[in-house]
Amino acid sequence: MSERPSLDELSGQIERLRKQEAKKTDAKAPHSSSYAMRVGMDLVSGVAVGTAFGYGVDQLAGTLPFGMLIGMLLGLGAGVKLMMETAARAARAAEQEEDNNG
Amino acid sequence: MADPLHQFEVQSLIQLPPLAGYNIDFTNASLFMMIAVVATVLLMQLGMRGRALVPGRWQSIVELSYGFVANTVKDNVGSQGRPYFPFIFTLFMFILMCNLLGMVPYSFTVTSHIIVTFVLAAFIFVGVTVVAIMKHGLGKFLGFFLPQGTPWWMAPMMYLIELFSYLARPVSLSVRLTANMMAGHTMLKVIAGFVVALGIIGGWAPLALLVILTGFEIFVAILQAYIFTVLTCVYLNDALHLH
Repeated sequence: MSERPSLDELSGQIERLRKQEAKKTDAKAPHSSSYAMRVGMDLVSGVAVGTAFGYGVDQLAGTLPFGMLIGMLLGLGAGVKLMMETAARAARAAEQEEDNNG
Repeated sequence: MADPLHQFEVQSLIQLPPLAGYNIDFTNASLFMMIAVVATVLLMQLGMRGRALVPGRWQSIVELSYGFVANTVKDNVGSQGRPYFPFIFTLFMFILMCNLLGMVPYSFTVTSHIIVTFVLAAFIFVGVTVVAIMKHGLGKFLGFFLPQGTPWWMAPMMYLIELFSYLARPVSLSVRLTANMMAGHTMLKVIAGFVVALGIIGGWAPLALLVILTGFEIFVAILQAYIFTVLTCVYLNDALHLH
C-alpha cells in the first residue's frame, strides 16, 4: 500500500526536476531570428507566382500587358496574405514559448 | 583567385546515353545525393545496432533526431500527422545530410541548386494537395480558396489571391532553402579568397572571420532543414484540417 504514494511522489519530483532542467537548457527559440527572412520570401514568391500566372494568361489570350499587371497586383495581395499568416504563426509560437517558460 | 561560383558547377562524372532526349549523366550532384542517402542509412542502422537502454553517442544522435522530428510533427500537425511521420523524417534527414555534407571541404552542396529543392517542394505540394482532396473531396478543397462571408463581387478576386498564395508555397519553400545555402557558400568562398589575397601578414583577420562563419553556416544548414520540415508540417496540417 505504501508503495503507490512514494511512486507518485517520485514521478512528481522527476517532473519538477525535468522542468527546471528544461528551463535552464532551453535557449531562445532558435528560429525566431529567421522569421523576418521568411516574411520577405513570402512576399516575393507571392508576387512572382501572380506575375507568372498573369503572363501565362497573356500568352494564351494575347493581351500582353494587362493580365501581367493584374496578376502582379493579385500576387501582391497573395504575398501580403502569406506574410500575415507567417507573422501570426510567429506570434503564436512566441506565445507558446512564454507559456512553457512561465 | 578562384571563382566563388565555381563550386556550384554540375559536372558529369559518368557519361550515359541520353534518355528520350534528356541528359541523364551521373553528375557530382547525383553522387552527393547518393552519399547523403547512404550516410543517412548507415547512421540510422549502425547507430541503432546496439539497441542499448542507455544510448551511446551514435545512438543518441539517432534518438535525438527521431524525437526532434516526432515533436515537430506532433506540435504542428497533431496526432493525425502520425501516418506521415516516416515521410517527414526521411525528408528532414535527407535535407540535413545534404546541407551538412556541403560543409565538408571539396564537397558539392546539392541543396544550393534550385531544381533539387524545387522538386522536393513540388512533391510536397502535390502530395499535400492529394491528401486534402482525398480527405475532404474535390468540392470542399476548391471551396477552401473562398473565405467565408466574401461578398459576391469580390469573390473572383479573393479566389485568385487565395489560389496564388497556395501556389506560392512551393516557390517560397524551395527558394528559401536554395538562397540560404547558396548565399552562405558563396560568402565563405569569397572570404576564403581574401585570405589568399592578403597573404601571411593580413590574411589572419579574414581567416578568423571564416572560422566564425563556418560555425554559422553549420547552424544555417541545420536551421534550414528544420524550417523546411516545419513548413511541410504546416502545409500538411492545412490539408488535414481545411477551414
